[in-house]
Amino acid sequence: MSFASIKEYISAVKQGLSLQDAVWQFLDRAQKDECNAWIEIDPVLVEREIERVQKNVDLPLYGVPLGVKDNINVKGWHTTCASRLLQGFKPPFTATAVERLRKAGCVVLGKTNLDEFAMGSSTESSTFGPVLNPYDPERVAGGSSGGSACAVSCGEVLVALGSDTGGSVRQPASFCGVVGLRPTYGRVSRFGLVAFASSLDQIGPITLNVEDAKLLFDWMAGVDDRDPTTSGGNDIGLPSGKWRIGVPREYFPDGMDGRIRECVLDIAERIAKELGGNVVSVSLPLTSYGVSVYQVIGMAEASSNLARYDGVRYGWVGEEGGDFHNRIRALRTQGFGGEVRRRIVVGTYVLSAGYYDEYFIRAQKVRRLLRDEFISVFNSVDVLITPTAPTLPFKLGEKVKDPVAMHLSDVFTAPSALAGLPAMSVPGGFLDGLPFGVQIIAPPFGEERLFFVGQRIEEVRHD
Amino acid sequence: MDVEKVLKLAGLDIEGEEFLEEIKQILNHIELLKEVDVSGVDPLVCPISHSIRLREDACTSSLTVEEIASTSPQFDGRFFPAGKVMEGEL
Repeated sequence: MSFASIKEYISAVKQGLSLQDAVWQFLDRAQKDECNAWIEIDPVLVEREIERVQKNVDLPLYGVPLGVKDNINVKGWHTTCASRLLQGFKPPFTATAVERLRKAGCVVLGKTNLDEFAMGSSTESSTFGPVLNPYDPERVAGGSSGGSACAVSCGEVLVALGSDTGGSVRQPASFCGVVGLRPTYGRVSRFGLVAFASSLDQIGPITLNVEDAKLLFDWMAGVDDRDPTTSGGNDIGLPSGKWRIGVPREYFPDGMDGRIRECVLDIAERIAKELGGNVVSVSLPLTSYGVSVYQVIGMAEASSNLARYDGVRYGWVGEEGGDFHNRIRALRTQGFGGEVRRRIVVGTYVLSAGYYDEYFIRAQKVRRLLRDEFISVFNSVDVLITPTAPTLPFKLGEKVKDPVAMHLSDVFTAPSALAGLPAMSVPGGFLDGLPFGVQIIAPPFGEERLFFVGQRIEEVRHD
Repeated sequence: MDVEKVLKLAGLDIEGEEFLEEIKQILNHIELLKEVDVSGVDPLVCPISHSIRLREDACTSSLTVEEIASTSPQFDGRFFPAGKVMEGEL
């Protein structure tokens, strides 16, 4: 038995299917997973979760099985960040986003695979090996939340959480044919999410449809005293007049897969028609600098955040004894994988004396220009429609040796992350049997627009 | 780039040629930012339009020492053993 939505699942559970049986159907499938989507599945902990919610049938998300990306803390479970360096680490607290979903009735089913410390676009940098694409095992599932997107796509869990720093929820959602939401920066608490780049990180839901993403978001969002950047501000709501659907030229370049370009443009036209609005061609000239800004800021913040991994207080401790500095250097060199070490080195360099203004401050200035450019375009359009990624899921190993090519997978997702905007990837259909996503970008606090337009995409897409 | 100095700051050991070549590719890519005119622009540190909210300055409960210590395989009941920090002979 499979379920197409949270609503369908809850209705089945309320009409006679026992919660135990319902959750175990997912657990069975997760335990037989062939895509390497999971890092930890513990039936004993799942049983405890079932017991916790069992008596509260009226909970809004009663017994909904939830996969949690393994850089988000859940007390009692390990958090590895898919890194050797966090081997054995069990956090003593639970992330606010998870806590809120549990209160609403969700049952944590397990922890999903990711790129090491969420750094990557293919889940190939995981110390536990890559996640395979559910539609073609020779291709990647995307990343860094590849495990969460894959597990939802395969029906191994009903919903999952990912984290999006430069596209890590949206791009794997696109590659696995599911919905992935990156909320406005500050709408969902980052407390309990292992920090990678603090001015960019956001937790977001990965689901089978837009309605489920909205349900999870509504329960997760809001002020949290433990994350001072959170806001309880109101959504800006839907536009009052005719819908103006913006199509930014720079997101449909000659170099991308032409079939994705044509399909996404067609979908934009069809939803504009459906909504009785217009497609408006707009320009965001700084788009091509987005990945470079993201590299500088993301790597600088990562080098600072990852300085805490010293093998003293938690995780893998390496060999004991010897000089402190030598031991830490050896431990970090062996404990971090290549992609993480590369980012730490570049991040350290751009923050070092003599280069700080030249690279880091300059990148922050271009970041402001990028944000201003978006805000200005939103004076003439209500949402933007773009492809989520420039390609279909690529082959395993295809980009591993070329870090810049890998980073360019984020070309359409990094700019909105830098600007702190909400954005969502919704399945657009299939090409050559592989899924591609359509991205909707809205002004800050414009999640309602994403959900509304996303549901229209679900109606008009080519299945 | 003074590789040795940066690696020391980063708390990492010396790496091979291939690694350094990959670093060079990333550095070439970020050079693109020099094309953008940023004169008169203020840096954007955090992309929020709302103000940062500070909680009331009051005591709240926090994790216990036992809970925090439980994350370290080395904690000896009072300290985290860290190895010799001073350089040279004592």
